[in-house]
Amino acid sequence: MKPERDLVASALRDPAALVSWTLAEWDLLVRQARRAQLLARICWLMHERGLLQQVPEQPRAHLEAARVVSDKQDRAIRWEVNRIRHALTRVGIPVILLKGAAYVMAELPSAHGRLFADVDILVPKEKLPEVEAALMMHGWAATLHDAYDQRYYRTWMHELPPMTHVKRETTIDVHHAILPETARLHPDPVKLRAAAQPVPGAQDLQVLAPVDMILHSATHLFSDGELEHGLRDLSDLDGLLRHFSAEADFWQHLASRAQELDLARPLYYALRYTQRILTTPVPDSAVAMAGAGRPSRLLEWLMDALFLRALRPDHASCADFFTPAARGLLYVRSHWLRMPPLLLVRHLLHKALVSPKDD
Amino acid sequence: MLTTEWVVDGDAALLLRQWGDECVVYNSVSGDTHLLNALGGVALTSLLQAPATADGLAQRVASQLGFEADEALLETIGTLLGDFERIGLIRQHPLQ
Amino acid sequence: MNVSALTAAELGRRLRGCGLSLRTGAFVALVRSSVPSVAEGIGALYADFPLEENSDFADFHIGLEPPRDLRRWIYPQIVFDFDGHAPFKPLPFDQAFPMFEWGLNWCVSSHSHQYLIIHAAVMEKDGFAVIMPAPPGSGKSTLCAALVNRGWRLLSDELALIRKDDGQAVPLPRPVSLKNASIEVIRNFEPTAFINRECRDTIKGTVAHMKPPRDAVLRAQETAKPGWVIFPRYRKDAATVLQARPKGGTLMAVADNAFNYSLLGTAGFHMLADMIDACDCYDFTYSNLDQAIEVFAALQPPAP
Repeated sequence: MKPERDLVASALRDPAALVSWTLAEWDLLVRQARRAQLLARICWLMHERGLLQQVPEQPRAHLEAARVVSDKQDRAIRWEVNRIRHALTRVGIPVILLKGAAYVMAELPSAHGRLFADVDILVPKEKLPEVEAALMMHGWAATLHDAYDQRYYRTWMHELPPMTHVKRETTIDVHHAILPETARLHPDPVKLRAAAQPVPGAQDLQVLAPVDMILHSATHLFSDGELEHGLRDLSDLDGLLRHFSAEADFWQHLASRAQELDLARPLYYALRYTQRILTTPVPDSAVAMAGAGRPSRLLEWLMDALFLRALRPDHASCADFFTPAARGLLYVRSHWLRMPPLLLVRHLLHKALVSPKDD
Repeated sequence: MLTTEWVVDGDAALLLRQWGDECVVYNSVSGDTHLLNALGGVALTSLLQAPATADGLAQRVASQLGFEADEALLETIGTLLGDFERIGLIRQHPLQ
Repeated sequence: MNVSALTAAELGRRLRGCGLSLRTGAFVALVRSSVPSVAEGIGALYADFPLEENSDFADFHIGLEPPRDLRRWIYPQIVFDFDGHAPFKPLPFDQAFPMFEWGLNWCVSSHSHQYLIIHAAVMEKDGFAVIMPAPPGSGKSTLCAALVNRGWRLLSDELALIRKDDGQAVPLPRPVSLKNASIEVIRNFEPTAFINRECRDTIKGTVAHMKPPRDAVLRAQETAKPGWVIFPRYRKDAATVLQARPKGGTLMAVADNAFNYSLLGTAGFHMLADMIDACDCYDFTYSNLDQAIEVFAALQPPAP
């Protein structure tokens, strides 16, 4: 596995150097970045440094076209949040935004270059029926109609089945926790909600506290099964770490909160792989403090073999012989993390026997 | 309802183009584009200038288009305001 | 150097090996395929197109190959590969060349958001472009194929690309797709036009492609100012009628026919409104091609 074949990670590490890249390098970078859904972020990074006009015309057209899409998604997220607030006014709870919608509304660096407008929110578990009803009244509808899938979500998962708005065709994921109840880690959603902070200018909207936002992103990334967009999520994490590490006692607070929420392991991986792949400036002391989450040598070796392959753009030029197996193993692992063994077997059997419906 | 004022939603940056009787409106917040007829166009541009109640708006529209401000017009304006609110162009503005 | 400078053997060799770097208007496609009908189609219909010899950058990396599984042999299929990823379901092997055309259209319309992209035919005369948006079945392609053989320059039969900076229509002249009855109609209308072999039983019926006029390909870098927006409608035995249509309604109808209007946001609204403002807008019903040609020939540039 030759790290320098991942041009996207190189570009993210040193955007300023892109002005001296050859057309051949740009050709491969545009293709890898398109697969990794990071073309718009690279455009943003060049724009931020006043270097966009120095990119050769042909690749620049692709960067700018990607920016058109991400500008649209930014507007779409803001409108979607507007409509969600409108729908949930009567429920009377603060709506906690997660992931991309949170980055956009809180105006964080990770907001730039987003290519999706799905919104994720966190609400108290006991309010789920009311929230679901309010959303349905305002035009959102369930998307999963298979009875097994519905029950899977409602019984075992930490979220309602995704709902899609009938007119706008946008999706909302309503979470009551950040991991399923059956998962091996148990971050307490009550604690997350208690620490949530308001979005400036909107009392009914909140985002997670900075360290919680980072831990949520890390947990999501390192327990997820489909890592085709892993580098994109890692880039978000890198952005959050760089932005919030300016706060006093940040690293200390991050490590202790990870312990408190039972998320020490994902934090360890987050710091390890952001450093390795994106050269995120993580002080040695922070790594030491996160050491409580360190796996055994053997497991760490295995995770390196898997993640250092899977967190690359899903493009032939970034893969080696073991990459497909690495992705496959991480897929199985993600189910293992979410479900106890018996339930996992049942779930996989069901999925194997029921043919997927044609789109 | 009659004492409620309507105002163009401050957040919605509206772009208008007019050709003859037609008015096309782009709402840059929702990303939607709407085609309004003469009545709709006059009503919206009027609200852009100043808030109005349904009654007041009917008066303004009637005088601009040379109609009579009768029951039928008031009813039409009422429906129009409902439509405008639903698509996010205007919102209620409580009178002081 | 053009495609015509390559022998059939050399063309096939490049397509099977390092790829053929083909310039179509503002885009460069690197095409790979081991399928003979693709080589044949490109050799015949893209003869006048330039090869991009010295550039290391291609806008789209495209492949057309049979799948690796049993469908390689049993009811053989063809897969359109966009840089290692298949955006569409496979089609019957026989439809490889049409799939290349549809696939290349998809590449442009899905990614080229530096333009407002309208699903329309575009042709130019005296510096002004006529834009003909039309849903399938309206006879747009037949009319386009006829007009470009009667004095109009082909910019595109499918994709109107409107440039952001100056609202100019940017050419993308490529083979004109013809379906079903219109294949024979155009053969009779212009016997000297080259139309390749038909593919039957596609989802669009029987399809074939007409070689774009050489002049259009040579002038692919010459943009044109939109002057008319005309919605064509073929109706059997109908009278030839050109009817002015209101601009507001036209804006909405063109937006409906655009691939990326809503993506472009405020800029898209301004571009489209400016374009409609500057154009004369019509509905056009016809049944007789010769009469249609006359009506178009009589079009006057819009008042400034």
